[in-house]
This record gives sequence, structure tokens and C-alpha cells, in this order.
Amino acid sequence: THTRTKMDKLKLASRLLTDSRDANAQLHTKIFNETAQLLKMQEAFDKDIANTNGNFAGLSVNETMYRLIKSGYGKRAAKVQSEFKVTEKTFWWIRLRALVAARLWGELEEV
Amino acid sequence: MAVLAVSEADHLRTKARKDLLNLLEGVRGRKNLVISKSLTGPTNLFVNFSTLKEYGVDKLFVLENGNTDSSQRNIAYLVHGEEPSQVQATAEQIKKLLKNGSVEHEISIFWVPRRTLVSNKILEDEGVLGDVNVSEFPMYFLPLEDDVLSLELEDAFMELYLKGNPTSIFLASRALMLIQQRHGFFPRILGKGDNARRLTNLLVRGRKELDVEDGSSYGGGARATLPSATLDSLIIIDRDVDFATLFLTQLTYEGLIEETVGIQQNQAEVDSSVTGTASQNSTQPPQGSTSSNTSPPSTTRQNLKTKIKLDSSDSLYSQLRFSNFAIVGSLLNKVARRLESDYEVRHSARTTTELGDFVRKLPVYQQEHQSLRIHTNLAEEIVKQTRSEIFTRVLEVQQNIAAGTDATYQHDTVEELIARDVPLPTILRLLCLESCISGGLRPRDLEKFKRQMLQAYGYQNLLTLDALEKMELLQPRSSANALLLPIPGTGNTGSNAAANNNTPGTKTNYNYLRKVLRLIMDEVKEQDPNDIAYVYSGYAPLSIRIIQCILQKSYIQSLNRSPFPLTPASTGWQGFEDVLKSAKGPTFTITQKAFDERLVKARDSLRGGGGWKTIYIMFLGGITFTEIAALRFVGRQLEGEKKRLMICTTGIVSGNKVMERVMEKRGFGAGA
Repeated sequence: THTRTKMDKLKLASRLLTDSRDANAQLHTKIFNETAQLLKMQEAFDKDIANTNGNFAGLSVNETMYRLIKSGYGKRAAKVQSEFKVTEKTFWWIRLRALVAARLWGELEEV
Repeated sequence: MAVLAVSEADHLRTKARKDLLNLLEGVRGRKNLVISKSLTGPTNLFVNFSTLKEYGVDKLFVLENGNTDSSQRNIAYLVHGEEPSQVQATAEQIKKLLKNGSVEHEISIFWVPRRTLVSNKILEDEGVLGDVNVSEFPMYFLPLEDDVLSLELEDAFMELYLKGNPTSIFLASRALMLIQQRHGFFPRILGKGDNARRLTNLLVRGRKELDVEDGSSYGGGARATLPSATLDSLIIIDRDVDFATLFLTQLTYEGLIEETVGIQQNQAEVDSSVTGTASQNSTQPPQGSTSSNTSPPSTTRQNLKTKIKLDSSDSLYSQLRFSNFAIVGSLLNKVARRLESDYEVRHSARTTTELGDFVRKLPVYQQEHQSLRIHTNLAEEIVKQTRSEIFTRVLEVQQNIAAGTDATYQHDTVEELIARDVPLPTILRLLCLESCISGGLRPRDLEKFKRQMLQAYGYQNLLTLDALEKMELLQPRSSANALLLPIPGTGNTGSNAAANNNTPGTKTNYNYLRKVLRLIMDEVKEQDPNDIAYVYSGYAPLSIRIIQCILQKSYIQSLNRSPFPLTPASTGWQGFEDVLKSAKGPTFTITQKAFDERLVKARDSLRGGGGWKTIYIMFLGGITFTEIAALRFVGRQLEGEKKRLMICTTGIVSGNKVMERVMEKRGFGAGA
């Protein structure tokens, strides 16, 4: 429900900006939509993935991918990457850091 | 006019102490003292807990903790009257105390530095105005050192440049008026920047008001209406003239302590392994009585953190603080060797008097020893960071941007640093530096970085980025912005550029000033510095170069091949007016003359000339430790002219301190 109210507020905010042609306002609208999208995905992860490290909700995009990879959900992380158009370079670094932190040396060699 | 032998810093310290103790004495009997968080550090600078105890203070509380003991009858509040949020918190707490307490309370408030209409209104709205004794504690400048006076307003930067709130300018004018009332008027006020202009207007008006008041009385009056014989001039610099310097990593020892652990009111909170006193008592600072004693018991439960005092009372630290960090290791080594040989003396002592001498010096040695241990450990901690790959890369990006190479070459590195989760303040400093120096980022690049940062550090930082844009620290380079630059994009040879423009700059043009004022020095001798650029290992802070245009004209001329319109008789800004049009805001001079020049002549002939004169330098919006180091360096070279510098500021700032304030802290987590 927390997520609900947040989404509603974000929707309201982007509606207020729809007619604006200001470049900054357009960026803001885009960001609001992304934020809502991220919250939705995180809600799903929190349902599916039992995580001892706390909720996904509230993490940033990069942190979400990092935690997914660290917990062995590489596929889902890749989905986040494509959803938010994260560059290959950034994704590569996040993967590297996460695999090292999780000591998944085998997968690290595949990189 | 009486010659005042006591230094200004001592005078301010004593006065603050006396004023506070007088106020406390006014509350009869034992009392609890509640201090707002932002005042605990500053209060520490001039009074310690044992003294407060002598004046009947039973316990100390921090306002924001909200845990004030209600069993005590007398409660005194020491709170900033200019900050509505603190005032509100005070009013609410008092209301609660009056309602719930079984004890009948006697409550006093000491507003720092003055009682305001807003504070009255808030107390009235909460319905407690009639139940409290209100007085003022007029504390303005606080001496951090004998030559550094600070208003210690930690929000001044944000208030000035984000919210456009001029309170800090007003308080600065009050503080400087007090100095003028003590020493006579500054014969000249020189300034650069819009806020500097505002401050000067307040000072001029303040003088007129005093003249009117003095007209009716006599006595102290004559002093106030005369220009001072001991003050040389006042130079006011608005921080927004030079924002870029703020974002570079400070490379002096003191600067790096600020960058790595942070310094508040001459104190740094470090890991207790640094002091080596961990096993005894981690909450007790090594210097004992003068340190963190004013914090109440509830806040001292820092896990394994110790506060160390960083000021000139530590002779080793005063040798190290202004040095470039590159040579701190060898300096420490030298001191260690000397100390060792000092200890060795005891073996060669033959007579009892010699031995007695040694024993007498022993406490000094031991103190030095302790200080040496602390600084060796601290320097080691810092080295761990400066040797890290990330630190080196960040520094490289900074130095390339400052040197004026095409900043877009650095973008790959910045992208990588974001992906590697380097703390957001570090990233923001790099991008703000680029924006300030190149007059904004290309819109496409800026949007790319904005998205990367938001994805890496959380979407809530959209507010952070908006705030930075509003302060003109992180901006897109628009055609409009480019036009505002004093130099048209095509012809950027120095001389005609300055001629092209007769209005004061609306933006600082670093590309032009870098060349004319030689901001980049290829050879800095860190061992034996020959230029202020040593504080950033090769970059001379523009803010201080601007001051050198006044104080060291021939030196600045020697750095530049093309001659400035200078004559030996040039004073003030003369010779640099055109150059400085390329820096943001107006450049101005005000002379404060006596109404009757004969009085001054008579006084001067009685006194005889040739005494030391003090130049006051006021940084509005804050000053960095490196700039202080650079000013000290300049000051040493002025000694021959019997001039000394007094550094005044609204507070100490650094890139991290600014970003810490700007960054949005609420996230999208479940609880938020």
C-alpha cells in the first residue's frame, strides 16, 4: 500500500507536467515514469525473492541489479538493465562488483 | 584612540565567555542548560563544561534530542534566534515542559545572536512568550584561530545561493560593525561580487546610523567617526565569484583531513585507533577538559570514535596543517628524529642540574610524543585513501578539467566512477567543476549523466540536481549562457576580450582568467612553496589570486607576460579592473573618510606612523582550508610591509560539506 500511494503521487506529478514543453520538465516526467516502473518491479522481487538483506523497494536501479546478481538472479538483473536502458559498461561494472562480493568465482570467469 | 594590545581573537573569546556567564548568573540557583545542536561546537570554543558547572549548570542537553530533564526548576535555552526551525523546536519543548512538569519551571531563553521578530511571533503562537525570560547573547564572530574569525553559520552557503536568504550578510555586517566600533572605520572597503556589494551597503548604512547616534552624545563618539589607524582595509569576496575552487580536492594536510574525516569547529572525529587510547575510554578526548564536554551524556555513545582537537595549541599540527600532504610524511619523520635525540639527552646528562633540566622538559616531550603518534596514525589513514586507485583517478579528472583540457575526454572516467558506486558527492563535485569551468555541460551530456546518477543513487536525487542547477553549479551550456560569458567564443586572446565587455560579468570565465592570472602553475615546490598553487598541487585558487591583485600587484604582473596597466602608485583594484570583469559580479571600492580630515591628520601626527596594520578579508558564503592556507602564505609575504591578514568568513566550507547539504536524503524506501 505504501507503494500504491507513492505510485499515485508520481502519476499525479507527471500529469501536472504533461503539457510543459520545457526540457527539464520533460526529463522530470520521464524520471517519474521510471520511478513508478522501478517500484513496480521491486514489489514483484520482494514477493518472489526471499531476501535476508531487507526489501528491494527503495533501492536505486543500480543497487537493485547489484543485489539481484549477488543473490544469483542474473536473468532478472539483465531484465532491469534492458528496461532502464543501462549501458553495457555500467552493467558490466555492477556485475563485476556483485560477483566479487558474492564470491561467485565461476561465473566471474565467464564474464 | 586607545591602542588595543589584546588581539581581536582573544577579545572576542573573552567577551563571548563573559557574556554567556553573565547570562547564566542571571538565572539564580542550579539550572539545566539546553543548547541547540549547531551551537554545541561553537560554544566549546570559548567555554568548557567545568566553568559552566561553576556557574550553576547542572546538566547539559541538546535541544534536538528532546530529552530535557523536567525535574529541574530552572531551565535555560541557548538557541539560534535567526533559525525558525530551532526557534519552533524550542517553543514546542517549552510548551510541553510547562504543561506536563510537576515542577514549576523558571525558563530563560538566550537568543543567539539576537532576538528576532520571528522568534517573538513563534513563541507567541505557541502561547509561551509570557512564561519565559528572553535575553540576547550577542555572539557574532567566533575565533577559530587568532587570525580566523567565523560566524559559524553552517547553512550560509545554501541560504545565500539556493534560497536567496540574506541573513548571513546581515550578521556579517553586524560582526564587522562591532570590529569597526572597536578599532575605527576601515579606511577602504574593496569588494567583488553581488553579495559583497550588499554587505558593503549595509556597512555604509551602519556607519551613518552610528554617526547620527554619536552626534548627540560624546565620548566614544569620536572614535567611531574616525577611520582606523590600525586597520588597513576590508576586502570582501563573494563565494560565487569562484565556485570552482570549492570542488577540487584540497591537498594540504588540514584540507585532506576535512576531505576524509571532516572537521567541525577545530575538531575531527576519528577512529579511536588513531589516538591509541581506545582501551581506556573511547568517549574521553585526549585533551580532556576543553573538548567534547558540552555534549550531554546521551550523545557521547559513539562507537569507537574519538574527537581530536586540531588547532594551533598543538605545535606539531600548526607546522603540518598548511603543508602539502606530499611532504607531511617527511615532516613527521623529522620531528620523530628530533624527539628521539631530545630523549637521548638524559643519557649524557652528567650533573643533577642537567638531569633536572631534562625532567622539567619531560611533560613537553610527552605531549609532543602523544601529538606525534596521533598525527602519524592520522596521516597513515589518509595515505590509505590517497593511494587508492579511485582517489588518483578523481584527482586526475579534476586537474585536467582545471587545466582547461576538453572536459569531454573525462566523461568516460566519470561514467565508470558512477558504475563503481563512488559516493555521489564525489561525482557531483566533478560535474559541478566541469560546469563551472566550461560554462555548463553540453545538454546531451548533462542529460546522460543525470540519468546515470539517478539510476545509480536513487531517483530522489532529482531534487539534488534541481537544487544544483538553481545555484548555477550544474547547468546545461545553452547559447544564452555562452553569450553571457565575457568572451565571444571565437576571439579569445586576452586583451581584446576584456575590451569587448564593459559590464561586470554574470559568470566567471575561468578559461580567460586561467591565462591572465596564471591559475595553473607547472612547477610548485611542495617542500618550499613559491606560489599559493601548492595548496592544490598546481592550481592557484582564483579567489585568492583576486585578492593578490590588490595585495601583490607586482607578483601577479611577474606571472604574466603582457603588462597590466599598472603604475607604482596603483592601489586597490587599479590595473586589474578590466581583467576582473571576467569574474562574476561587480568590482568596487568605497573609501570611508572622516568628516573632518584635520582630526585624522592630528591623530596621525601624534601617533607617528609605521605601526602594524591589519587587512581584513571577508569570505561571504564560506572559505575552504586550502584558501586559508593560501592566504597565510600571502600574509607571510606582507610582513615586510608591516601588514597582517585577518581572515573572516560565514563558515568553513568544502565540496563535501556543500554536497552533504544539497543532497536529498529521503528515499523511496518502505518507511519513507
